Amino acid sequence: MTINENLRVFAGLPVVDYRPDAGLREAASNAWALRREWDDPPLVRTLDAFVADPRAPQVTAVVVGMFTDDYSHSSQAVIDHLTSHAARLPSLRALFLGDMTFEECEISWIVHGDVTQLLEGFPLLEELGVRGGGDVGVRPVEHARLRRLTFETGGMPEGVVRAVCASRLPALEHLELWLGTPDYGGDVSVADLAPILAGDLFPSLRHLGLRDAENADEVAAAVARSAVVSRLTSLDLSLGTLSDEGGRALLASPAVLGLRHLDLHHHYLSVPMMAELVSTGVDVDLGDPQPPEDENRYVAVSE
Amino acid sequence: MTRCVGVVAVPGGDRWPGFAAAADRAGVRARCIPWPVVVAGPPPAGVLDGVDLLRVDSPAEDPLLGEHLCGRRRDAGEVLGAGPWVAGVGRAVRRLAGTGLPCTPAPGDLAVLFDKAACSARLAAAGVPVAPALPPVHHWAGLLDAMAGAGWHRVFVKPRFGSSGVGVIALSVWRGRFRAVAHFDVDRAPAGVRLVNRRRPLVLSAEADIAAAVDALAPEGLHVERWVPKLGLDGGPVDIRVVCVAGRATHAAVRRGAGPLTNFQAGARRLDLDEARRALGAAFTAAIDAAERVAAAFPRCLQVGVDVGPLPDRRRVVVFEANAFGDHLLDEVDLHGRRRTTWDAQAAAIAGGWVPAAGPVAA
Repeated sequence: MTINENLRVFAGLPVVDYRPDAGLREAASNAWALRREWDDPPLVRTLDAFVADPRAPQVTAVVVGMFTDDYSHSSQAVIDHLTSHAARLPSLRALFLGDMTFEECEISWIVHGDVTQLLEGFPLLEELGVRGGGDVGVRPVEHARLRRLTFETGGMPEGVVRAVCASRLPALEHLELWLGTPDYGGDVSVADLAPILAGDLFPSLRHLGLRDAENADEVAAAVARSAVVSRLTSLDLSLGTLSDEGGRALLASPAVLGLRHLDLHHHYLSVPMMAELVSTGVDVDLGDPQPPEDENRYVAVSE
Repeated sequence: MTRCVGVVAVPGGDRWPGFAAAADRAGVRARCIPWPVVVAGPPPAGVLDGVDLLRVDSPAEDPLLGEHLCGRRRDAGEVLGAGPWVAGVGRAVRRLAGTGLPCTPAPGDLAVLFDKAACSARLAAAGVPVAPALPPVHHWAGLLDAMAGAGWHRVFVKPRFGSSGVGVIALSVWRGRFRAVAHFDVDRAPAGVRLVNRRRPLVLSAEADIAAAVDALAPEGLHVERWVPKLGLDGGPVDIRVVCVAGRATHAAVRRGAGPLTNFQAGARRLDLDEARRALGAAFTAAIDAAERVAAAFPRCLQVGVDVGPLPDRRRVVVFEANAFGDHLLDEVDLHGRRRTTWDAQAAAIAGGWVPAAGPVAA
């Protein structure tokens, strides 16, 4: 699997491409996508028009897609532009940075600037998603309103997790981290996740996703033992290399069995293990099974 | 007047019977002129009696023609040897057209349709949106230099001559990392390198392997275009094959690739046309318009199959290829929901008096 389609829905709203000549009709009813096609002017020109639109103050959701045709350019210019015009976007509650398909840019080649600036610049933001972690600047931050935070990478640097763990996010309900593989810069160990798993960091947390993990069995075992699980309503360990070893750890955890929803799609579980998981009565997603007898197990998204 | 079309085709293939049935339905007489006959020499006496239009169909259905066309056996799956093959086809068609009969595609147009560089130039001159191309490159090092000079990280490296999709490499280069996706195997035998088509993608990340593939293709000429990202639907990038007959779009197929290459030989899947049309939005109409502009650039061709890529903004498109024999869509239903094949559309045009445009055409 690679990321093959741009977002069609974000923050519960249909994604519509913003075009300066069409404006922002029904500004609050759509998630507005700002993306640069191959022969378009630089994205900051589109951003200029976007923030200058009379209806920009009504916009609640923005998706930033392809922002450059030179991969060595990071998203910093976009981040700077958005934060310096934050006063024009007082209703912005949800932002996704890096909505690019594999056709547009391999996930591991996406270069970001300092995304923490977005949280500092938009104190009312409730949802932030970032795709591309090969190079992404994340610093510890305090943010009172953020409810959903997602980092999609093919290989997550340990520094990202460290910064998240050092942040105060009292409203955070949904945390999703794509851990990826060392081949593409992933170096998050189970030990790095310990502060999150201990359960005290994010008092409002109800959904935890530790996805696309090459060490999925280890992660599953650590999660199964952890204190945080008993506070969650749902857990997402999909897209990784989860095998029966991880499955057994999950089955042995009363807290896991108490979850409302468990997402394990793209896995390497055997049929008997799948049957056992289903028979627990937990609503478990076991889609996209990979052959358990395969010698090599791959995460779904890496490059 | 009842038209009589001489169809240069492979008698045992699918195309001749398909067209013949359509001609019959349209009240057009049709006669098969087998490719081996055309390749062997001037048409024998009587073969063209009563024929008022020559319609050249694909020689590719007969792999043995390779020996006649370019002096050596060329198997259906082979990538190399397209240059001599195309030249052989061109010679045969020119000789046939030299009899004075109107011929579609016109020999000059056939040559352009088989030459990606010439085709791209003609379309650009006609104002059709096409992917920009690099100046000619002759080897791997030259390719890297040209990409760096243009500031491009991703390109499609295509053999200059031959039909679309065959031998294409989707290449990404950045920060000393390389990634190439192709649908051929590189077979390094003592007698020389052979490249053989395969359905499943070959993914290469070692520079030496990619360089070997590019350097194997290079002697036959390369056409390198910017990789313009296409819209993704249903799990992969999509393109649209539009068939135009007598200048109007009649049929379309939306193809979703499993990887960067969206042609059927690479295992692309066809999407349901009505669903895809809705998902494509304004880009579908733009694709139809672009395809008809391509057809207008080839007024001496009864039909042309155009590959159009929708951009992620679901509004704009880029034309990737124009194909001389892209009408074999096996579609029973046309763009307007009517039951008819691309051959029915062609036979109807012929019955209605279609002839190749006269007068000078851009080279």
